[in-house]
Amino acid sequence: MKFVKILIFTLDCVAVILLMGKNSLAAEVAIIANPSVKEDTLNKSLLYDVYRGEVRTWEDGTKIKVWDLGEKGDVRDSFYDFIGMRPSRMKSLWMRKLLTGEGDPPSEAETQEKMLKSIIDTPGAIGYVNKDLVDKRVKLLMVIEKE
Amino acid sequence: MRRNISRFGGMILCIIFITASGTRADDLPIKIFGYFQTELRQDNDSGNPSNSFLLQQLNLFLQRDLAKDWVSFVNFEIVNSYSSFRDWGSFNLEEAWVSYRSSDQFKIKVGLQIPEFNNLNTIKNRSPLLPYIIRPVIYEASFGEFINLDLLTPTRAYTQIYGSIPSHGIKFDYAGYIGNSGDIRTSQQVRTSSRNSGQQSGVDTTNGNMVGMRLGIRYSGLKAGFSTTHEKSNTFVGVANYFKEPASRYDYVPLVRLGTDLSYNWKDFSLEGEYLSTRFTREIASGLNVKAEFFYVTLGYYFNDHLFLYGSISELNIDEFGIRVDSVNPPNDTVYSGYDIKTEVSLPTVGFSYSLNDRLTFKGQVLLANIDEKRSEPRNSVVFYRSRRDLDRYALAVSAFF
Repeated sequence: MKFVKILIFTLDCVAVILLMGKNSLAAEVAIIANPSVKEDTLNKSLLYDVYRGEVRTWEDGTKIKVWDLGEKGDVRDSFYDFIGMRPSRMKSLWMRKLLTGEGDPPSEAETQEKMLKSIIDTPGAIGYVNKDLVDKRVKLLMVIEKE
Repeated sequence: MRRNISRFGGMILCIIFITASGTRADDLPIKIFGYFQTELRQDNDSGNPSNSFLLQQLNLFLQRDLAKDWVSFVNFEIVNSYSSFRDWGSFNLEEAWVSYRSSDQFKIKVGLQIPEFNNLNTIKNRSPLLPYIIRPVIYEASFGEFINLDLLTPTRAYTQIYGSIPSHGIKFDYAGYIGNSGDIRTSQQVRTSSRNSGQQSGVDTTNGNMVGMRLGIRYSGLKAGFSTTHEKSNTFVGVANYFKEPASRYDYVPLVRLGTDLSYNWKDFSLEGEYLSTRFTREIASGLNVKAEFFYVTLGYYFNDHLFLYGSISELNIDEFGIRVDSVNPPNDTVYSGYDIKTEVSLPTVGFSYSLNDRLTFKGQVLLANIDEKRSEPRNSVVFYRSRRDLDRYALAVSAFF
């Protein structure tokens, strides 16, 4: 009986921890690319692989230049919530690629405005910004809807 | 076997020449980066306390893109506060390779490298990636001074093909490699051989190679794999001087390693484990075998973006043999015999790592090691010698990436 009580208490604690970690998506985020990119859409699985460094070229063989957002905020949180990984764990994966000679980490833009400019200026680039910032100078591949 | 390896080598050279033609690498920058981990430890070795600082490890990497899809990579490693003047630690060239990436499905590396085997082998010395201060024992480079780590896992290969094939959301990983057997001629052996022997250090003493592979799958947070290597070793050639057995018994003793690994990430929890079995498949002398088994399991929890907490258990069992003098019969006939040595090392541990940012991590770890050594006659379970040693270690470390 005592064991059952301890088990129930432990499960309660785990549930509380999990609920504390559950965030709703706070911002509507656009996944954007340089207009030179041939793809018109992107699915979640491919986005995940691109940001993990598993997929490094577009279908036409152009190198994918990945940009990440340095500034903390709703847009970055929503992006990482969507792909289901903490930024720290993603960085650990990039570090693994770097230290095993398998690839370079994404470039980091300090602000969304700088991210937008970098995507516009870099052929093959992909990144994410608040949907309100998107204009015709970039290609919109996907929108992560606000929950 | 040799013919197949020669063909394989020829095929690789063809690929290199065909794909390299027409590409140029001008003004591509060389990247220099690395990391070190320094620790403060308090040991309690069977009731005898001691404490010490140690620069546990420093790695320096050089990387340069040579052409589109071609990368060169060099990794120097320094362990245990290296100083050649004071005879501390060691300085090693761990890796120096060139890789070609045709696609994610097919990549090739040529040169000195750490091959794919289980989960930790390729990243065992990348301390910024690991939460541990003291790694699972077979991956702890600073233990290499008293455990023959080269026999337990494949530490070097020279050519490897590898890649990842996606299908229905699952990724199938493969790697196949060749390298030297574990018995490499040392400078000391060269110096003691005759001048005109033409011997060279750093080369395999056998007329064969180590071959190995890893097959694995990845699906969502799950990663699992099976690894194996096969080689023939001349490690025991010197033993022929002690036992009245044909000398051929000690040549080309087959060594087989088998391993499985499993990692699973679920929400903020992380589970990873490995099993390894290494054995020389021939008896070294009647009733004397050399083999080892190892496993570790680590359960971790990402408390937040900075703090990772973990608990781990690992166990290493080694069966080896010793040689003793039975009798001395003048003028020069000495009779030797062998005995079994079984060593069991169990290492439960808990710890944390706190990442201040991408480049700076603080770590803490408590390790409670128990080392139990038994000696017995061959094919006899009666123990004639036993020693038990408890080693508790409390360690704090700083890991910096530069």
